[in-house]
Parts: sequence; C-alpha cells; structure tokens
Amino acid sequence: MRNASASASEDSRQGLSGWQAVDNRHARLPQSQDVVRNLEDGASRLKAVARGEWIPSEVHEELKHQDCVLEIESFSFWYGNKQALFDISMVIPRGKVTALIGPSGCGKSTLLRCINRMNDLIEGIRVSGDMRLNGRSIVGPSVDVIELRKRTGMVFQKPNPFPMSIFENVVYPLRIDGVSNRQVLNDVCQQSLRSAALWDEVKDRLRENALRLSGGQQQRLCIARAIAGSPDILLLDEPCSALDPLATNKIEELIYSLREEFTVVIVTHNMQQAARVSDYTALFYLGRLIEYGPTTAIFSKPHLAETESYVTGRFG
Amino acid sequence: MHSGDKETVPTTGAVENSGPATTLNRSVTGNSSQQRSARRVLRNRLWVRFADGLARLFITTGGVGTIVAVTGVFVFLTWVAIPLFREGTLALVSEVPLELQATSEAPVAGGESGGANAGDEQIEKQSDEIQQGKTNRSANGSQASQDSEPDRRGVSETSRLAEQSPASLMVVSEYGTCFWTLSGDGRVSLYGIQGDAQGHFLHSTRLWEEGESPCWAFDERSGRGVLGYENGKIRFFSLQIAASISELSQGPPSIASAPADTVVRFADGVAQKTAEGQLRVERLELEVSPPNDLSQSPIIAIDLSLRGEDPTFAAMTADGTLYVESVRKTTNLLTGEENVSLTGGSIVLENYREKIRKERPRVLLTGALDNVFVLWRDGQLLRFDVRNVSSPQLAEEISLLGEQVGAVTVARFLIGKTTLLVGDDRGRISGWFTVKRSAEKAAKAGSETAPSETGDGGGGRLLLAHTYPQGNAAVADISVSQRSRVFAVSHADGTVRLLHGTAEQLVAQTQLSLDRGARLSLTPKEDLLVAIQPEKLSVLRVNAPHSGITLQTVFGKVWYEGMPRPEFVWQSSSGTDEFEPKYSLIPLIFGTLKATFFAMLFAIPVALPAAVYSSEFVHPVWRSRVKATIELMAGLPSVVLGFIAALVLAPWIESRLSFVLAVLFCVPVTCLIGGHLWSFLSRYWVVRLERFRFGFVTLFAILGVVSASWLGPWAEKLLFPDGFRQWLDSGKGSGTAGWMIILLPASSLLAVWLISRAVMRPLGSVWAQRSSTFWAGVRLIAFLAGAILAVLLAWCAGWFLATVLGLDPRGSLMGTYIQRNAFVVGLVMGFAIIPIIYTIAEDAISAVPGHLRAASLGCGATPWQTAVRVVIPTATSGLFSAIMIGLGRAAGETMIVLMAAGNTPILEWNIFNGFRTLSANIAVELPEAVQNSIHYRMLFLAALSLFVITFIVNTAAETVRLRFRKRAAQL
Repeated sequence: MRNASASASEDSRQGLSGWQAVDNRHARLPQSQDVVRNLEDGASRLKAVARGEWIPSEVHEELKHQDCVLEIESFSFWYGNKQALFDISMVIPRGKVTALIGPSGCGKSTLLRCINRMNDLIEGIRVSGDMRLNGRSIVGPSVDVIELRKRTGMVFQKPNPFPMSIFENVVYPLRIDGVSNRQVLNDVCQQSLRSAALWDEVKDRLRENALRLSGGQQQRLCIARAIAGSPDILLLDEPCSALDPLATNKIEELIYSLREEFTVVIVTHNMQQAARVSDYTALFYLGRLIEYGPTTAIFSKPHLAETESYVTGRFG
Repeated sequence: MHSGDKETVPTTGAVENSGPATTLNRSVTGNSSQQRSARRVLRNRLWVRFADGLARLFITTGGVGTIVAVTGVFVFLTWVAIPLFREGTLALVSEVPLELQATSEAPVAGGESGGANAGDEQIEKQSDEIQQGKTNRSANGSQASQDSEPDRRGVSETSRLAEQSPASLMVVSEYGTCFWTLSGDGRVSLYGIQGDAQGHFLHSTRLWEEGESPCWAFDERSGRGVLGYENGKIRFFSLQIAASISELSQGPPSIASAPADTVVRFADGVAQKTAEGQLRVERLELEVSPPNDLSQSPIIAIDLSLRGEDPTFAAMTADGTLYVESVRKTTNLLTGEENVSLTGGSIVLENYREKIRKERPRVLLTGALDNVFVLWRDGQLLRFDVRNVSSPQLAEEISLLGEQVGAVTVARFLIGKTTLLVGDDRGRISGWFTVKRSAEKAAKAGSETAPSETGDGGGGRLLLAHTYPQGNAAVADISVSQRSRVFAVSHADGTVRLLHGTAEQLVAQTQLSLDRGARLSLTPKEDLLVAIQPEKLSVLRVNAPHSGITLQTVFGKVWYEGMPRPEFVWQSSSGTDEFEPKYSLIPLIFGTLKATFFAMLFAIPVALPAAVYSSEFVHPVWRSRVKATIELMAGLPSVVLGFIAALVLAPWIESRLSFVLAVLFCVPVTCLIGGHLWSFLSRYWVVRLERFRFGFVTLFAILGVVSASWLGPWAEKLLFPDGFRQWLDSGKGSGTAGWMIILLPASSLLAVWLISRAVMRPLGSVWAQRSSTFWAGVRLIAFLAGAILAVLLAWCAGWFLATVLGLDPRGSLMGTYIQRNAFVVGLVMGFAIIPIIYTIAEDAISAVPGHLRAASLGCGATPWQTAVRVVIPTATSGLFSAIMIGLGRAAGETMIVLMAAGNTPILEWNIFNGFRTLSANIAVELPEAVQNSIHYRMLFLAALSLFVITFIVNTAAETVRLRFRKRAAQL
C-alpha cells in the first residue's frame, strides 16, 4: 500500500488541484453528453469528476436486496462554501462490514462523521438530502443528536482512551447513562473487552490507567468502549492508520469477528485492509460515490475501469 | 502529500541531514556542486553553532540566575532574621578594685557585699534595720541560717564597718561613665567606671543626716525618690547624675589631646570627651524637699511611682496602717511658694499588725497605680486594690513561694512596674502580674471552671506568669533595664545572668571572679552591666540586642502582662517605653491563611466554572472576547481595588449586608431557573436561539440581583427580628438562623443529591418515554422543590445545632461586624485573583486534546457530561496549577488586605472581622522599624515565613500537579 501511494503521489497531487478547482465549478449542471463520452474512457470519469461534472454512482445489484441499517439518500454536505459530499445515495447492510475507500480528501471520513453527526461540532456546515438509521431520519435540527450518538459507536483514527482506568474507559457509555449497578458494569466491561479481544490482556489490570496500554491495545479498548453502548452501527474511522502492522492485524481480526454482532462501517485508505475485513466496499472520489458493491466484486471484477485502476494502485 | 515529501529525501540525505542548510543552498545556488554546498554548510554551521551556544548560554544563565535570585532572597531574609535567635553575651570589660572612700565616716567598699538587692529598697532597708538591731534579732538569725550568702555574711562579719552600711542602691549614669551608691547611713557616693576614674571614689554627699534611719524609695527613670522618717514625716528628693556640655578648654589639660570618649576624673565628677570634641561633665546632683507630715507612727516601708510628673507613694507605718497618697505640687503664683498637698486614703491592717511588728514588710506600688503589694520575706503577699486612692481595699492574700521552702530575697518590678520579679534564696526567680477578672472570666467562659479565689471581684488576681531558669545560689540582686524587658540577676555564688522577662529566656550568663553576690546596675542604654562586689568593680559589656526572641515567643503562646493566659499576639509598638512588645507571628500567618481562604472561597466558585463554561460551551468568538475582558481585569492595580474595597465597597456592604448576602444565594438560584426555562424550548428553537443563550442567563442573573434586593431585607426581618447586624453584635437571640446561612451551601448539595437519587432516578424509569418539554417541567419542579428542601434542611440542621447542641455560630465563623472585614477582602481579592485562575484554567481546559472530547461525544455524552467527566479530569493538573497560582497571589497580596482588612492581628475565623496578613504587616511596619532592631528583624522573619509558606505550598502544589499530569502524560 505504501508503494502504491508513493508511486501514485503525482496523481493525487493533481487530484488535489482538481479538488480545488471543483470549488468554483460545483454549481455547474451535469451534461449528459459528457457522461456518455466519459463512460467509454477509463480515466475520463475521474477527469469529469475533477471538472466538477455529475457522475452517476455505480451501485451493484446485490446491495439492493439487503436488510439495511442505514439508508443514505441524495446526501450532500458543505463545509462553509466548500462542498465535500455530492449527492451520495447508498445503504449500509445490517450485520456486515462496509468499507469506505478512496484517496485522501474524498469525503469518506466526512460521510462517516455525518452518520453520528460529529460534524455538528464544526462551524458553518450545511447538509441536504437524508439519512435514516433504522428508518428514522438523523438529519435535521430536531434530531436528538445525543440519542443518535448513543445508537452509533465511533472509533477514531488515533486511539483516544480517556485518562482513566481501563474499566472506566469501557463502561463510559454506561456511566453517562447513569448506570451505577456494579454488576451490570462489570458484566458489560468483561463482555465488551472479550468482544474486543482485549480481555485476556487486561483482565488483571482493569484499574490501571488506560494510557499505559500499547497503541494497538488502546485502539481495541476504544472499540470495546464503542461496543459497550451496544450501538446499532459501529463507525470506524481509519482505525489502524496510527498502528503498527501487528496491531493492525489484530484489529482487522477483531473487525472481522464483530461482523455477526454489529453493523460496521470502516473508513480506510488501505485497500488490502478493505479487501480483508469488509463484505462491501464503496469507492469515493472527490466527494462522489464512484462504485459500491460486494468487496469481492470491487476487488476482482469491478464494473468501472476507474475502480479497477484504483484498487490495483494505478491512482489514488 | 506525504509521498511528495519523500522525493526530497535523497537530496536531504546527501547533505548530512542539514535541513535549513539544504533549503538555503537550493534557494541561492540552485544546482550547485556538492563541494560548494558542503563549504557553505560548514560556514553556516559555525554561525548556527554560535547561535546555539549563545542560546544555551542565555538559557543557562537565565535558569541559574533565577535559582540564584530566589536562593539569594531566601539567604538574605535568613541572614537578616537569624541574629534574632543568636545568644547574647556578657563579656567582662574590666575588673578593678573599688577605691575606698578616703574619709572614714562612711566607707562604702564593703557595702556592696551586702548586696541583698539594689532593686529592692525596702528589703534593703529592712536588713539595715535588722543589722542595726532595731528589729527583732531572731528574724535576722533565721535569715542568716538560710543559705542566702549576703545575709549570712551580713551577720557573721558584723565587725566590718562596711556591713553596717551596705550600699542599698546603685545607679549608673546614662553614659556609663560613673555610678553612685547609697549606703545605709544615708551617704551617696559617686564612683567612676571608665578611664582613670575607674573604680575611684569621686564625690559623696548625704541624703539624710547621720542618726536618722529613714526608709526610702527611688525611681531610677525619673531620678526622684521619697524618704519616710521614723517621726512619720516624708521628704521627696531628686538625685541624679547631671551631664553638662562645655568647651574642652574648661576641662583638664590632658583631655584635649586624648581620643574621643576618653573619661577622666574632673572636679567632683567625671569628664568625657565626646565624639563631637566637646567636654561632657557629669556630677551628682541632689535636691531634697522640705518634710511633709504623713502619720504619727514611724514609717517603716515606702514605695513611689510616677505617672507623669506627680508621684504617688504607698507607705506602711509601724502601727500597721497602709497609706496611699497622690502628691500634688502647687505653686503660689503670688509668693512663688511651693506647696505639696497629699490626697489619698489609708487602710489599717488589724490582722497583720503582729506580723508587721515582727518583721518589716516591703511595700510595692505598681506603675499603673492600681495595686499595692505588701510582701514579707516568707513570701506572704497582700495585694491591695488602690484604683480608688481614697479607699484602698485588701484584694487578696497569697504566698509567692507557695508550698516551697525559702525566703524572698529580692522583689523588683520590671520596666513599667507591672510585672513583679521575685527572687528567693534558692536561686529561683518568678514573674507575677495582676490579671483583670473580667478578662479572666472572658477567657474562662466555656472552658473549665474557674478556681474560686479570694478577691473583691473587681481587681483581678495576681498570677504566677513566668518562671525563669533557676540559678545555683540565692538571688542577690536584680537590675532591670530601663528600655526593655531584660533584667540582670546576680546570685550569691558570683554568677550574673541576663534574663528576658517575657520570654523567660536566659539571654547570657557569666561568672564574676569573686563568688559573692554582686550588686548590679544595667546602664540605661543597656550596653554595660556594672557589678560591685566587696572592693571590686566589674564592668561587663552586654551584647544582647535581640533578647526575648525565641522560637517559643515567635511561634508559641506567650503570657504577656495583664493577659489571663498565654496567647498568640502581635503588637510590635506602642506609645510608651514601658510597652511590652509582642512578636508572635501566628496571628499574621493566621491572617494570611484567612485572607487566602476567603479569597479562594469567592474566587474558585466563580473562576473555574467560568473557565469551563467559556471554553466548553461559549461560542469561540465570544470566548475570545470574554477572555480578553477578564484578562483586562487582571491589569487593575491592586491598590485601586483596595481603595475601592476600603472606601466604597466596605461602607456599602455594611449598609446593605442582607442584600449582599441574599445576592450570593439568589443569583445562582435564578440562573439555574433560567437554565431550566431554557430547556423548555424545543430542539428547533434551541438551535436557532443558541446565540442568545448567554444573554438569557445574564438576564436571569440580573433578575437574581433584583430579587435579592427585596428578598434580602425580607429574609433578614424573618430570621433576625432585631436585624442581622444587631444579631451579630449583641450575641443575643438564637443561633439557628446563623447556622442556616452557613449550612445553606452544604444543604443545597445534599438536596441535589437527595432529589436526583430519590426522585429523579425513579421518575426516569417511569416516565422514560415522555417528551423533553415534559421532562423540562419535571426538572424545574424538582429544582424548585430541591431549593425549598435545601432551605428546610439548613433550617433543621441549624435548629439542631443551635437548640439541641447549644452551639452558636457567633464566635467562630460569624461574629461582631467590623466594617473592614474578611468578607469584603474576600470579595475584592477574589475579584483580583479571578482573572489569573480563569486564564490559566481556561488555557488548561482548552489544551485538552479535541480527540478526547470527540471520543466522549461519540459515546453519546452531552457536552456537559463531556466537560465534567472527561475534560475537567484531564485538565486537573492545569486547574490545580490555576488554583495554586491564585492561592500564591492571594497569600502574597498586600494592598487590598492592607486597605480593606482592618489590619487587626487577631485570631478569629469570623468572616465579618478583620485580620492582618504577613505581607500587609510588613508593608505597614517596615517603614517605622529601626534598622537592625528586633522589630526590623522580626519583619524580615515575617517575610521569611511568607517565603517559606509560599515555597511549601508551591512545592506541594507542584508535586500534586505532576501526579495529575502523569495520569494524562501521553495526551
């Protein structure tokens, strides 16, 4: 992956300048002629995107018959005047791992953060379209954000355990709900740590400061914390980017094992990781959903030439 | 973009990792050769190395300089303060034989050996009489059998003429050049101490005629005395060594070329060349006034005290009558005739006639003219209350020696004539003074039952306040200093000790060459101690500039004159020389702590929540504005704040106390009500009106102030029918309401806990599905119920404390209202330290990594839960630092407390009373302190204490902070 990104650096730099160009042109209406022309050429679709033209997402048939936790409908997102997401429509299947991939700045993290409204903390954001978690809209001012976040668990790029004991870290979601029953807390702690494959390593030092754990352990602790609140959907924002390969491996195993119990959405720019852990993969580019389908399909026989060139490391 | 950097890596690596050099190289020379770039790198490196070295030097110098500066301050303070605890010295300057008087009529030399005590005229007088066989011989014999050496010798060596006329009194001149002695036959002899006059007899005169044997009293400070004759008459006299300045030429020729300070015999006195090159001639001057009638009976003992110009004397006659008389001297304007009139009263001691007949007592009149002591050798003492001069009352009868065996050999007043020093034949010395009964009662109130003592109930009690280190032999003489509480004691074995009256401290000690009791006299300047033993004159240099200061007197309780018990007192100066300086740092340290405590009490609850609120909840734009404004507050000079506090706020609060107190309770309540009302808004409106939230809360704060303006007086009327101030000052009425005010914060917390546990939690499960508006209503009702519950709880607890346990808040946390008090200082100093605490705390909270907030919010925590559960615990070390820096500022703050605290060094937690801090004390008193005096050094010791306190607090704070910091070390 490292090689791929290094060799593709030129492309990505162009991509960035393209991204900036988008700013001025995003208001332009898509022209059907362009679309047709671009379909014929493998890279032309990306160039069209870079020019700010409208491109239809390629969503595979399999996804249309899934039981969905989350439905995203024509969702667009602006940071101030800068549009970060363009008309995204996709569904997140229940009990599966969905990976969001794409080059840096493609908006995959933004989309993830929109799911639990973490972007609300940023000044001057705007959204349009709709998202429904288990059928209930989570967009709009009347949504109880706190309640929404309790229904979603989130794990961030950098491990961010609280400077408290391991135990307190894990039961934090219960603490904020006002649970003080010792038995419940102990059970949840143990269960979550087991689910996060951390129990055997920390069971004897639950009272220790969580910051003494290694980076990988800290990230698993964060996952344990996220699942302690039994969320409807688990959002992982590049959970392994700050970890060494061994720790990454463990996290990946963990994510793989979580699939039955939780719906997982993972953002990663490591395509091997996406291939290893996910059931479905969505490719984003410059705020657009390019292609979305079962992971095997995306990596072996994608519908679009651009997807193929991306997953084989020719751009991105 | 990461990969973009990688392309440059090979280039960078080639030039030995020198980043800046490479950049420069590129920008200037483009594609230059490897060699050239290497040369340039070298040149740059020299400069860089120089800059590095310079920076290191600066930083090292700065760091070391800071440490040196702080250490230097510490060392300097210690260096100035440490002489306080240095021991005094008594060094023998010279020892010469004392020249016998040429004429045989009144040899003096042997007289010194009598040495019963120069200080105690009466006992001297008595022993004279005894030796002359005028009183009961057996009494004399019993004295002789005791181990009081002077007395024993007095009896056994009666053959020596000297013993028949011992020097009863010895007084040194102001300049320490000569002294006079009074012998038993009325002869006053002048001797030299320095130069060629040393040990020489210079002049003699008679105070009374041969054949007479009056008793007498002499006041060294004024040089005036009184004689009481056997025919019942009294005569006043004035006896002093008068100094006159004249030209050198008028003196002996030898002195002109002599160095300054040379002393020579001159005429019938001594002459000294002054530092200014003039001649100071000192000679004896005696003036005796015509006799006045007092009684028909012989006067056997007399004492004199001066208050202002007119003396008052107490005299005992042989028939057992005690006279106390004030003397008024009137001058007839027409004739110029002086007329002495006596006004006073007398008391006949029927019960003690026998004892008086058997043994002459001595009479002692206190300097305040309130008590007369009649003292016998066996330690029996009668105390008469003579505050009403016309009718002296017997107040009490006690034994100074108690159960102990022995005889009183010396009894002398310390300066001020309040503390009576009593020395006995075992070498014990004790200090006694009268304690007013009212003060004693106040002190005993609430403590153990006062032992019932005899007394008239008004005059108080004579108490044993001080016990001094015991000497090895009988006390021969005591000489008290005329400028401090130091006194010199000579013992029969020839030891001379310098003791401090208040501190019970042995200042210095030495041994004279003869193992006889010496008669002592301290010079008025307290620089020389002159001792005469038989035929021997010893001059000792006294070096005890800081006597009376020990760790015990500085940090412990000391029993000062007139106080019912040992106490911590700071009172460094007063109007009179007789004042007993009281140097206990405890009230000042206490004041510092009190100021700090109340300032923090007001500052922390405002500053920390403000910091949390503005960094976590306020819009960033507003945050920067608010922060800038609050930091502007820190720029207010503390003298301005002190000025406002003392002259504006203090009187204002005094007149609206109930309102101000009500504000403290009303504003939080109305603000919380505002918050609850806000939560009635639907989510839609909350999002849209977010920016007005701050204004909304402010509105309710104003509402709180307004409501306090009528609630305060109303509550005052309800709780304190006579008014709060009246309740505080009078000490009357129940303590319930006072306790209620004190307990209200605690009961509020309890109510919050109870309501959330017992009401909100069960309701939470029952009405879990109700709407947020419904919940807002429930919460508001719960809050109001909680507020009422808090008041009721506080009232119940107050009632319990006041009525059941009988405790009254007045006297501890509350009490008499003084205009400048800890409440005002707390408010204003709180205002002064809020910006510091706020700024540092705000920075600390803002420094909490955003990813922790994100993690908490991501878990579904509200911003409030995030702040309380994650942000504040993570920022603890910073918040702690903020509090500690605030604490440091409050402890060292000077101007505000100086101006608004009233500066009364009292030990009282009463929030409505003043205090004096270490820093304010230094500021107030240092300009008045004489350099290198005890007072001056004590102020440095106060500074050192402040330094040490701050140092300890800061070190402890830093230790704690580092522990907190460690917890979040990786963040």
